[in-house]
Amino acid sequence: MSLKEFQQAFADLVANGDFCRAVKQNPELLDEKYVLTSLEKDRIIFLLQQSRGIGTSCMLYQINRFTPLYDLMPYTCNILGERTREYTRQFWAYYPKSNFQFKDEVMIFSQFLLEQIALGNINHIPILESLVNLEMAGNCIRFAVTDNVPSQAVIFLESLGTANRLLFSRYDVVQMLAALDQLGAGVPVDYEAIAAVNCFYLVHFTDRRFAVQMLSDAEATAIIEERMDKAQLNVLLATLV
Amino acid sequence: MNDFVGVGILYNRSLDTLLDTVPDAVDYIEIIPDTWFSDKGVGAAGRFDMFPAYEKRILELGQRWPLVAHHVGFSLGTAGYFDEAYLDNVIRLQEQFGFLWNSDHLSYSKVHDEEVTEYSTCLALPLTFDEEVMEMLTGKIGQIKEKVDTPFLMENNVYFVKFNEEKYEEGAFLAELCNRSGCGLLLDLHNVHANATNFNFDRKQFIDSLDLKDVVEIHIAGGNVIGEMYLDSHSGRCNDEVWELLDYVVPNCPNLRGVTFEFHESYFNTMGNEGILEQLEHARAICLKSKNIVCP
Ligand SMILES: [Fe+2]
Repeated sequence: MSLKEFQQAFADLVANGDFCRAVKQNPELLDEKYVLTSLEKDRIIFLLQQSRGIGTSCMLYQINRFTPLYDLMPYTCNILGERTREYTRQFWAYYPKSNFQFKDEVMIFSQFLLEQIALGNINHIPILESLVNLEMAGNCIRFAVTDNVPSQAVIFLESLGTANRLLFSRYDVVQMLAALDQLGAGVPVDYEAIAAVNCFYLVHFTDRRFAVQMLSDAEATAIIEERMDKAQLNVLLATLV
Repeated sequence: MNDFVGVGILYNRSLDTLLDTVPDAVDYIEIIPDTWFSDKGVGAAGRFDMFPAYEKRILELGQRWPLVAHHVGFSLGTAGYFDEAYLDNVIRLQEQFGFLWNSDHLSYSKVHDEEVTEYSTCLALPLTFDEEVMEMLTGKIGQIKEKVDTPFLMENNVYFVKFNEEKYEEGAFLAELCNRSGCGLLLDLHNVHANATNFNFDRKQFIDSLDLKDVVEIHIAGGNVIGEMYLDSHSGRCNDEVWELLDYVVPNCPNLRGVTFEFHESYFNTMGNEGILEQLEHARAICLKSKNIVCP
């Protein structure tokens, strides 16, 4: 079905400026990827000659694809700062096809960042891993994700209810959130001032705000092993609201 | 049936105070249902899921104003696929909220692989004004019209590139599409202004190339230049050219039912409630020169 291929080619070009340049230089590349009529191939070549229009389309693709990520992971994007653009580009190369479910996009972007951190490719922000996990916990609550969470640090348990998660964090979440609110007001983050804790938190997320409660190891273990007394658990959960 | 409903607004949450304090500012409210539910994707169980709080809000709005639905997810221009589950959801929404009419866009925003997994193009991409596209759209609109009783409108799109060797000019394509499929036209005057600015054609000549009997709704909005082109960013107040076009076009649309002001929530502060009221009043003053508002 040729029109379908033509639409795919146009969409692929708008999603990838490098591909636009490559095809403009060598239109035969189109034959390797798509089955097009000669008119459709002509039309792609004609499109690529309209550099203002194709440039604007590529720009809008990037803005429209980035906006939901920023909206759903504001702390992570803020702390990555100017380098967000670089990492989203790498992410789009790794995961070129965006779908309409922002849930998938944001989960896969989070997973991508965690992998890059684990590989040592992103190592200039000590709290980044903890922050990505925290926002992932928020997005799991927002999108009601209970299984296949792409991080072991975010745990769903029936006993906690759908609006809460257990989160393992290397850094103090309350101090991280305070530092990030300051960053929003233009104050740089002092990483030295954020305590390394390596412990579990209860996390609640509603109306774009987190409420968290640090847990002792004994409390966390009792919750995970589902042997915490219900009344005690309710007391802990009540501190989140 | 073709009574003029008046001047409406595309709903966003920044409007709540204005709507509460000056409910007469609008005669109807247009909503984009897609922003009120989550879509788990083609084939997913319980695919469309609306949060109860959102559902309640739409019902509240519907008790106070007539509602109109402007869909963004049909992607009717996508070749080789018609999203029947999306249509089923539109039917459900129609039954629940009783929209005066439904509309979507003359573009494609989804592509799909062989398994019909959808991918977003991240922007609405233009269609070629050819026979193949005409036939495809006519078929799909026919399927919608078979199941949804209210008028179904297609909106003229903004585009940043042009195609060569098309069978139809845009105006002729829209006229023929309405004629063949029975859809109405949602004439976005700001899109006309944006395309005319970027491709240097005469706005009124374009309007004259349409069949204005098809026009059921008009969109008005503002935009701005970003980079090298003028964008349909819905960035607040309407431009003078859009007002001029509205004045030109309204008296000549015998089946017009509403004029809708669109702005993006993030630009609320550029206008404030006063500025929004001004836009609505300006639109109403133009309409009342040739139309009487009739409550549906
Ligand atoms: Fe519009």
